[in-house]
Amino acid sequence: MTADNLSEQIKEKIHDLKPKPRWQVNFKYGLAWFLLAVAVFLAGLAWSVIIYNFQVEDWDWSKTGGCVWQALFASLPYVWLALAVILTVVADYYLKQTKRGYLLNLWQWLGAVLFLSFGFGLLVNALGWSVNIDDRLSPRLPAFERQIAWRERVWHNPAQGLVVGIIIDRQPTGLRLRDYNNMEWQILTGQTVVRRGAVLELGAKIKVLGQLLPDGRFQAMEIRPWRFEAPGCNRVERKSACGRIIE
Amino acid sequence: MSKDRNDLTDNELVASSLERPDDFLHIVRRYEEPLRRYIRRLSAVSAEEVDDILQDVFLKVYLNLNDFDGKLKFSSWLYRITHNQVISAWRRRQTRREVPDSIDNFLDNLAAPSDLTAELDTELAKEKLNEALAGLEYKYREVLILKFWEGKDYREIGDILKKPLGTVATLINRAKKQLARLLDKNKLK
Repeated sequence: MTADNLSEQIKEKIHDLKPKPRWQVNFKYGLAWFLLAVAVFLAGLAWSVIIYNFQVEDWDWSKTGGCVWQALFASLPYVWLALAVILTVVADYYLKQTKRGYLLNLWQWLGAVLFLSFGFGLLVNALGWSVNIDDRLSPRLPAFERQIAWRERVWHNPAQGLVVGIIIDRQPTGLRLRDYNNMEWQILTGQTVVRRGAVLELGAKIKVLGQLLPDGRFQAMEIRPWRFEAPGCNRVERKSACGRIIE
Repeated sequence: MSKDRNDLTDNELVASSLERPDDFLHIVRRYEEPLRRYIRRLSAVSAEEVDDILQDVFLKVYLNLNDFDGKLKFSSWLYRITHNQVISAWRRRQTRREVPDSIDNFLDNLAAPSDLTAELDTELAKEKLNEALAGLEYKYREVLILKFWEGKDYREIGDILKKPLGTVATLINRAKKQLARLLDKNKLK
């Protein structure tokens, strides 16, 4: 094709064409920025729940009597971590769709996205919203029930002095719990320290540290909440245990 | 075409083309040959296919004129569209590893880039050099061609390939090393 031929062919074709309007171009980039912001926002929400989960986690894994690594892996909020990672990747994709996003190298864009999303997550957590997000959304996530069951199995070790269960009865001498195996435990609560956040009401899930008695009952030394999330506690700061003794 | 149009800068021609479509043909004439050479160097297609790709490139450029905002060089933006069209055409034909057919043109330009030829033995057999270049991974071949045959600097290469500068520098270094290894393997050094 000669130069003149190409020019003529182009001339003929552009006669029926029009450049895309500027608003369409601007919309495309505006959409990329918007979707980037949405991805960062959602990643921030995921981070806020991850931060919250780390705040309410019981880090006293040595009490489980088992492998500390197993306790660690049972505690990690996997689905939220996976969501944060996926949304970070999505944010990167939309960043590359912007006009100048390609100028950032891996560490620059990763740093920027993580800084923004994690920072936003800290803010959401400080405002106390991550509790609501966790309460409403976590149960809907896949494998949520399975992870809860796994965590219960790690922490429920009666022979090692650890029982986890839901309170099904309150008696003058103590409590009655049902564990994840539907076994019932008689918990004796003389001189028991109750950690802050432990709600001793029917239906509440608690951890009981103590000693398994020969007759199958369980003497409680300490009662902890299943998760450290007592109302009124400042969820940003990790306060030291504030308990009371049940007479 | 009036002479004054030929004196306009690329950016001025773009603005003018948006008002008068015929002015776009000045852009076509200005860049047709450089882009034709670039497509031939980058790909392994026939002359007819080069023309097809070139036509697609200019039509795409015309349709997206409002996407050019002047913040990067017009030639970089043009090369970027060309690069993407070549990739699209390759994906349709799956001919990434074919040997470029314009060997003479290819080697004629080999004499120009002194920094690369300084590293190569100038008595290399045409077939061996061609094989080595064709043996490079595409991502290395494309940066070598842009750097040493199209004469683009790192910033322009980054704008064309939409990669950060650090990545461009790394790719060029690795490309040169891989090319040297392939040439050594073919006993050219």
